[in-house]
Amino acid sequence: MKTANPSWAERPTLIGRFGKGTVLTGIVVCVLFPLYMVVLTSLSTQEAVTRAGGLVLIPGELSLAAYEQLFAGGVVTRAVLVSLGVTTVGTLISLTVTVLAAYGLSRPGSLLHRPLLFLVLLTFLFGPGMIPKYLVVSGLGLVDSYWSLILPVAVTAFNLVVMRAFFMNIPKEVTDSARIDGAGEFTILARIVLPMSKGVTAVIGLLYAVGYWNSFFDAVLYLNDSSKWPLQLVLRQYVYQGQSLFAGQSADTALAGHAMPPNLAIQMSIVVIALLPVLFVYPFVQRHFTKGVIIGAVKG
Amino acid sequence: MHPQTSRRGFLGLAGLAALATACSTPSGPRPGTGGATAAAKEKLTSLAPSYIPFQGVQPDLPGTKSTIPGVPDVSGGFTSYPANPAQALTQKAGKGGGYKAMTPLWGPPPPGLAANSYFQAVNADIGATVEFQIADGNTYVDKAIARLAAGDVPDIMVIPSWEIDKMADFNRAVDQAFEDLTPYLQGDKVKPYPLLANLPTASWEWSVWNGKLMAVPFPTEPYPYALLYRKDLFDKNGWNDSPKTAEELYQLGKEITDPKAKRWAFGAIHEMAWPIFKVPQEWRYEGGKLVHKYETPEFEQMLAWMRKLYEEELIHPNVVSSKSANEKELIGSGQILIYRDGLGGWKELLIQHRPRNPDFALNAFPVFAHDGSRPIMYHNNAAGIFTFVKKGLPKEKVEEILSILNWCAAPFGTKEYELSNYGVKDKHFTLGSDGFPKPTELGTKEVAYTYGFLGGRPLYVDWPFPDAAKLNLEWQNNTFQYIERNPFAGIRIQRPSKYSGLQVPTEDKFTDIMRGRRPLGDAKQIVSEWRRDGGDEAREFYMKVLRDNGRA
Repeated sequence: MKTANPSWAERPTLIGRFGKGTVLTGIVVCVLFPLYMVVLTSLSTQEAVTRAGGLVLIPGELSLAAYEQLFAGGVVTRAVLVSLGVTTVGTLISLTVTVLAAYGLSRPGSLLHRPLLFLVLLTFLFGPGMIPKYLVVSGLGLVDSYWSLILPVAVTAFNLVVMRAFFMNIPKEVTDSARIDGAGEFTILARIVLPMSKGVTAVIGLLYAVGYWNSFFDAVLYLNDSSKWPLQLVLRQYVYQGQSLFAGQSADTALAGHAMPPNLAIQMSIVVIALLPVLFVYPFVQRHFTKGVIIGAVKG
Repeated sequence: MHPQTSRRGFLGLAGLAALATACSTPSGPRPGTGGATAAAKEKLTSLAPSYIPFQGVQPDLPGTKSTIPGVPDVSGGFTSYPANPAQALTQKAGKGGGYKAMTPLWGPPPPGLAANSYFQAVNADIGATVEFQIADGNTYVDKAIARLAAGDVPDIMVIPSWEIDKMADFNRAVDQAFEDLTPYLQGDKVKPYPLLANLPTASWEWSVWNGKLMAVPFPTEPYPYALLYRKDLFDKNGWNDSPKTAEELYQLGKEITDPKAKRWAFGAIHEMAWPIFKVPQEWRYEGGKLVHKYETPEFEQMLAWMRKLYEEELIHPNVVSSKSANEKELIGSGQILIYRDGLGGWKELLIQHRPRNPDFALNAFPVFAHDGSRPIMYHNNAAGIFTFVKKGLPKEKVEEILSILNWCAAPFGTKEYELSNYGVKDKHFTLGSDGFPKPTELGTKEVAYTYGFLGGRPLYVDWPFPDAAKLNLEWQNNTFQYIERNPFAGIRIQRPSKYSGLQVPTEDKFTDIMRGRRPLGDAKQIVSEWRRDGGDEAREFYMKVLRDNGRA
């Protein structure tokens, strides 16, 4: 079915459409091409990688050996579970705390909301620094506990501010009428405000989840027991395998004659594994993404 | 004049600032020469344990005993794996204690103690429970700093020297966090620990902080780098495998580079261009003055020569375009024929490529000087990694830990070494057709380099490639005579932090010159920036060291 163009818009010319198509295709190729090389290299045999002298462009012999090797030891599998667990629990906690705090701070009359907001905004400007953070975490007895990956980063000031801005945009009349019907603050939040904020909640949930999924430095600092390491840290170890800077003596200290030197196919399969979950989740949240972030950011 | 800062230089400085912040302990980094120290040779020698060589294993390829203060030995090597490794220790090392040890790892983490039969087997043989807290080797300094600052120190802590260089206040931290080992190890007191007594004195001298023996050292090999080439391809094509001057190397590069055949002469080589041009390793003392390597005329000659290699595209384009180009793959595929690497990289390449290409072979060019005169070669500090013991442990615990470190220091060819490196025979490894251990599936999963970090051992060339081991040792023994004596030989200096922080941003600027992004004439300006930003201050510091030691 043909839709009529509005009177102020002419039908784009063929050349114009062709030109746009070419440019867009070009951009898409630029984005997909490196991914293609990564995926292909991860599926290539060592011979094919050596022949190409690095990333593989033209498919040669293919094999799943890299993936098999990665999942053979059980270390990666375990790390996947750890990461999934931390991401799920962490995102739930983060969302709960952020929603509650943002709602509280968005109500003009709430107790001390200005000084509290000021404190939150302060963390925008001044990060706590690595050692004070470590002292707090170890003081709370969280070293070597999964909670050390969640609690110190449970609330991000940016997300809190975005969410608060969104909540403030909800017309006062709506909450007032709920109050007339006898709803308390928690009911208003759960029954009125949250259902109106699905978009922003989804986006902020995604931001938190991606943060938890990608984080590795907290694990470096707080987890002494390497069997608790999350996926990103374990994968990093594979990528840097054998790359000690011991004046080139890496072979002796890091490999000790048994481990294999870093293998490009394995490194690339790691990139693929690390990307997959985010790639899967994104399409479902994407439709909220533009809306949620723009609404929160534009109207203060 | 307004000082110019290039983009790369700026990024370097920004990174440096970030590093300085990251490294600050609660008391904050001390500027300038804070943390820098020097200790004189005589004092160091008197603190070191007596050297009593271990007679249980003799290498079949001889090495070179170092007579130069502070320079490690060439320890020799093996062409075969002993069918019956010698038992180095007759008594159990441990007394049933339990200890936590923090070590770096550059590789996938093994399963933890409870689920790891390799850890269990080694602990059973040691007679104590060592539980490893493995940390990512590439971010090791962050974790080490956090734990030191928080006072959360494990019983045994391994810290590489290059990470210590990044810690602003390590001289103070070392006293607060770690046990003074002098009363346990100095002189003949080392005798209960025969394998620690087998470590070279030069390495022990690096374990001294604040006039005390603080750590067990991990000895190094003498050379930071060599210029490696694809021996199999050189032999096949009859190329010149012994260039005698910089000009000959350049001509060789022109001859063998052929972009149409996807073949380039060089990978990254500039660290080897320095000794070729006889740039001093760090300082040169002449006419009562210290001259830094950047300030020498040789350095400028080197820049011009390297610039020529870049200009004429004799260096592989991937290496030119990216710092992290995968040179090992490019060497393997024959796209690069010559590059610089540590001697360990030689072995790594063989492990990586020989299974698929039995002809694959490397060798190192004999060292030469740019003008055909007597060559010079740089050397490593004699210790690269240190193992510390937590301060305040009771005497028996410290002794048990030292006894465990003694076990871990067993050299190649002993049963202890076999167990700590490869695990249990026929379980974690089997002997391959060449007689060298090959990991089993379980071994690949469970065995990680951990005990090996707890106390080093003489660094033998123990490669499962006898042909390469021979070439390697020939090169090492032959090169030893050319090791440059530096004005500070035998004095243990901890570099001033401001001065070591200057290195990366300054050398980034020189890289811009080599790559033709800045004119050659800028070298003088870069040097004056370096002098202004801390180079001159460092010169004062080093001059004082010379005066204090009666050398100036």
